[in-house]
Amino acid sequence: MHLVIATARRLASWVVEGAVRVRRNHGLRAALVLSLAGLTTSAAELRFNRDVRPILADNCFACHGPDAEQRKAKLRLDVREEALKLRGSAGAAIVPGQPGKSTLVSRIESSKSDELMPPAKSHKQLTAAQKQVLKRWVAEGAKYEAHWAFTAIERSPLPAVKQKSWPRNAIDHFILARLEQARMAPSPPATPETLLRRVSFSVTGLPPTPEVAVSFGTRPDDASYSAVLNGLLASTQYGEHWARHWMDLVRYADSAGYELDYLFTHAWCYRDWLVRSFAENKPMDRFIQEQIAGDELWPGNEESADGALFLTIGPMRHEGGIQRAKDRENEWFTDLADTTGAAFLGVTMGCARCHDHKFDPFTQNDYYGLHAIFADSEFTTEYVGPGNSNTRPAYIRPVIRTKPGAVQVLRRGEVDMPLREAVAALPVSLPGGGPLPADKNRRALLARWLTSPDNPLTARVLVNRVWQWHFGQGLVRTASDFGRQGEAPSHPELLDWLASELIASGWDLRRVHQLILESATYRQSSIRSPEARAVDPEDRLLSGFPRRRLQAEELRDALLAVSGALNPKSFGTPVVPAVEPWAIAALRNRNWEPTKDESEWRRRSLYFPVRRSIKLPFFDAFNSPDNVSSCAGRDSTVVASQALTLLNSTDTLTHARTFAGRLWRESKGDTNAAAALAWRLVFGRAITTTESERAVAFLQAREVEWSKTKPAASVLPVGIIETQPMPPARGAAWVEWCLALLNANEFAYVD
Amino acid sequence: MNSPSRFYRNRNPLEVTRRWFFEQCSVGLGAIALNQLLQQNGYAAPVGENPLAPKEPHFKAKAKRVIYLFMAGGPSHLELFDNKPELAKWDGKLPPAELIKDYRAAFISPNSTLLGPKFKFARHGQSGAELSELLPHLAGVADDIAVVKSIHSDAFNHAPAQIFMNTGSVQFGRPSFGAWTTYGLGSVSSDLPAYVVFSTGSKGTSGGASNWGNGFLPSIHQGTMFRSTGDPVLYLSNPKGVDAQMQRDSLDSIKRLNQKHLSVTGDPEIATRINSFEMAYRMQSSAPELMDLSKESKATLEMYGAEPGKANFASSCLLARRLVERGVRFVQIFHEAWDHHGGLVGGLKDQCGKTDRASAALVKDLKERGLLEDTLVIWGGEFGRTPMVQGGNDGRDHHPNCFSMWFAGGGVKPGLTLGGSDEFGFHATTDKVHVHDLHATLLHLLGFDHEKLIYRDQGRDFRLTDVHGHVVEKMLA
Repeated sequence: MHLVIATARRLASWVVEGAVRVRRNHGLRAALVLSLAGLTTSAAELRFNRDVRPILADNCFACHGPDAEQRKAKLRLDVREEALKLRGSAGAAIVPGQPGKSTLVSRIESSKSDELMPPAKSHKQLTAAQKQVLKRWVAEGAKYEAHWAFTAIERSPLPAVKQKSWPRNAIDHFILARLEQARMAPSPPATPETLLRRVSFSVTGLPPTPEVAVSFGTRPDDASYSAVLNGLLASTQYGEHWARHWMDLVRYADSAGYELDYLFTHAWCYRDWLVRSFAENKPMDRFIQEQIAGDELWPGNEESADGALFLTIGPMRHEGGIQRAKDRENEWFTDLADTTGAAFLGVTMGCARCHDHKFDPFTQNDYYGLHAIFADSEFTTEYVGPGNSNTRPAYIRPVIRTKPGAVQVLRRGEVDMPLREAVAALPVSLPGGGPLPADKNRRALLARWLTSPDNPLTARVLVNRVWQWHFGQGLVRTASDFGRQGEAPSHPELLDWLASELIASGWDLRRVHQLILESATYRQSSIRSPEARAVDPEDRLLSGFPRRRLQAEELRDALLAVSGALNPKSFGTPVVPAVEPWAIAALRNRNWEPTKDESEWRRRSLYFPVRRSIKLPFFDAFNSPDNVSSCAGRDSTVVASQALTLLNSTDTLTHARTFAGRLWRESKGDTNAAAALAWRLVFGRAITTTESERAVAFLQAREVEWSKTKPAASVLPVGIIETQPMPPARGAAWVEWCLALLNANEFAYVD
Repeated sequence: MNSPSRFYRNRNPLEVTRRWFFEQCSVGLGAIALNQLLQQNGYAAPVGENPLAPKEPHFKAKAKRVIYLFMAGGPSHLELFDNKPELAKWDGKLPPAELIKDYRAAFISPNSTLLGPKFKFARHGQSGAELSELLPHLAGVADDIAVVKSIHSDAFNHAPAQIFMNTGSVQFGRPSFGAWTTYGLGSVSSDLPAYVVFSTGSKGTSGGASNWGNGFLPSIHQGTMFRSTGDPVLYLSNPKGVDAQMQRDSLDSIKRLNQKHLSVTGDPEIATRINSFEMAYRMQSSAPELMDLSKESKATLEMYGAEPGKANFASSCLLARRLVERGVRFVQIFHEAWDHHGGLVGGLKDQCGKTDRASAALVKDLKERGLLEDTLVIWGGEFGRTPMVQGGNDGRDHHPNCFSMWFAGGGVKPGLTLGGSDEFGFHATTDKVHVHDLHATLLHLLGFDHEKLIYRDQGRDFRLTDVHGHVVEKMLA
């Protein structure tokens, strides 16, 4: 039954969007939604990209698309002049304006099983509505459009809106115009307290400090908000939080993965480079250039070279048994081509490893052209330091040397099936694409090309990610697939406007943050009206701020911040916390030496080592990424193991004990004051009278219960000072209460 | 109205729970959402639709669940299943040149001498299945199992070969067979994970967690590692000093706080999270009963060779049966112990001593309980071992070209012996079964067309069988 409901809700949402959604993270199969395309566009103007291409892409392009090897009957439907070509006596697949003469139409409507397209063995079937769309499209002249993401970025004028007083900046014009078109209204502004907590997590991944809360609380006006915002954006904590976002994209890890999972000696230098780059607002074009070719573009500049460590932190196969150098090298280039394609260009280049891309204009030559660019440099590894046995070293250190080497285009991606030598080249279908001269540093050329203002993808992909990291979902929700199989943007003009603003501002990321965070859109309440929730359950039109669960690192960092135990130290080698032995039981290479200074274990989560072969239980439970390939967006599941982790782990109990001790000290033993402080710290807001009464009643009742049994020392607060002793029964009651607060939704979610 | 102090005392926790549950639903969500929530009977209660809701496969099939005994390390087919008397005659001699043309071994030089089989074989049961003297208990169920002696793989190092056998790819990051199974069939367990994993060898597996990973499937499909004694999962017990009452009190106060958040926001995800705490609470009560092997009869314990409180392969097998009885869809026991580069004879005796009895007992026990019919049991590793010697005269190297596995129940033809190899057990020769074919067949047994069980990621449709695989019709009952 609930499947039906879910479908109906999605249908409603789709109608609201007026756009075809191809895919989202889970569920929502393309076929279902696509089949609806024809149903609702009958009256409106037919648009190739929105209405027609998805049908062709899903049903026809696999055999009649860009992939030359798979092409059947030499027919290509993704290029207009090819589809219009006369084909012997049968005529042309498409005769514009004449569906009756177009074999495409007769074949999809054929009653003969050997003529029908798509053929039965493809397991694909067109619906009556889809056939109708294709026929109408042919009848109306079979107009094609270039795929939106591969066309130049276009800065549209701000759309007109009716509710003229609502917009605070350009973003709001685009959002409101779309809402008004759907006859919806934005939500009222969030309360200052909610907004402060939201923006604090958005920018720094931490709850607001009590000092900021007090100063903003006394004068919550626009000037104070801007001041708070700028303060947050200038902090190292901002750099840390956004470095962690970027680490997902570049599959960051401190170890090589696979069986032996050697530790890297200096992946952390790249992590620190990320923190510094964000914190000092390095222009994003330079930020990207340094990662691809910092060593070549700024020789001798250590800072830029640290950025290029991006090239050296991917998974590397080292395992028992013989491996061939050429296999390992091929895997390295494959990782770099795939990650570069996904993270910077937002396209699925990896598809072209085995064959020409079936849906996007990338060929095997393009793909191995990227391999060849990286092959300008020699990538090797050195073993460093004594290992935990006589034969195995503890660390490996990747080394890049400039030494050109040839790579091959490989049949089906198989190292032993070379087809021809690959020519270093940028994807030919994109502006500025084509072969690169052999006498230049070609990684540097790739870096320049990625950040050229003519590149239609890089800026769009980047602002979309920034949007996603603030709102929980991108304007394009397939953030690393801007190709034809990805999702169309919910607000295409806004996406382009932001991208052009990024470029025009000199790739100033702080400017983009400010635009987003100052907007009325961002400042809305997360409580949407029941009508808005019913019509647009996934909040694609942003009729309110989308509530989100804290990410694993945010959650752990917030637990430390609230309890007062957070060690704010930044930068440096990874901090290894002591863990129970079974937590690292899966580690073959038992290279886990806890950092001696225990206060280091209370530092922010991004300073923990990221091992490819295991995840620490807390991060595993809360959906941290796999670190093997670029992660465009994390899952946010809600499962019982999370409840067990937050409720029963020794770590959370320790947080609760520390927090209880802090409340006792800072409230000087006053229960009312403690409750008020707790609400301020945990939920970022003032406690209500009812909540305060309930808290006091709870603490009193539980103290009575605890006084009947002697509580174990392991459930008593820590950090109690001798001058302010606390009766054990009261202590246990406070700890119990703190544990409950730290498990509350209002803490784990950003409203 | 309610005095909180009264509320928090002397209540039956379950009553409190239910009251809260219905209250919060009726407050914030209305009847439709309530229905949705009540249908979310999985271990996890994810947002929106429940990805673990039980689903029908593509067609009607016998197998409804799987127990996979993964013999990691690469058990020697030449000592266990594939009797090669001819190889004995070649003992100490170099293999014929054409045999090892283009051959790459993991460690040994390809022109090492051959090593004759170390153990005797005999035929068993009405089927006359040929088994090694190392497997006396398995011999007792010879007519219930199907031995396939012609499996071959693409990878010859442990990690990639294990990943390949479990995910159909040598690259890390693809969904495992278990994850595909729960993705396709959902779960019928109300308070246990859909996919449970044990590790019983002396060390973890080379492939690590990727062997039971979810890849790009929703993380709910990842295998959950159980320990085979005590608390099966992490943080199931209350921390030291926290008693059941404190636990329930905490849960109730969390629920109060969450209910308020829900009533303000009306967000179904918040309701889901409330539910997840109740799931956790239910697991806390059901898990100790599950893990308590002392409830089993003496005869059963004896049959498996299991002892309550002792973590080993035998108790994991018995727990596997208890788990599938409770609705768990997929249980996989990783026993990493078979990598006999040296100490082949002693090692095999030792490991067969640890596993033969319980493996056979599992088949027997499932059959007696009427569960074998719709439970698919799989026994096998990531590859076999070379007919060539490694080291002195007591070891064999990794060998992917030919190895053996056995299967039982779930629509597999009982008493079958399928496939053959050359006189050295070097190449599979007849009825060859590639790992992709095996996967196609296993999915078929579960009711899936392996070409249709797909998931789209990064612009591409993925399958367990990649772009390969043919169902091995001869294995089907």
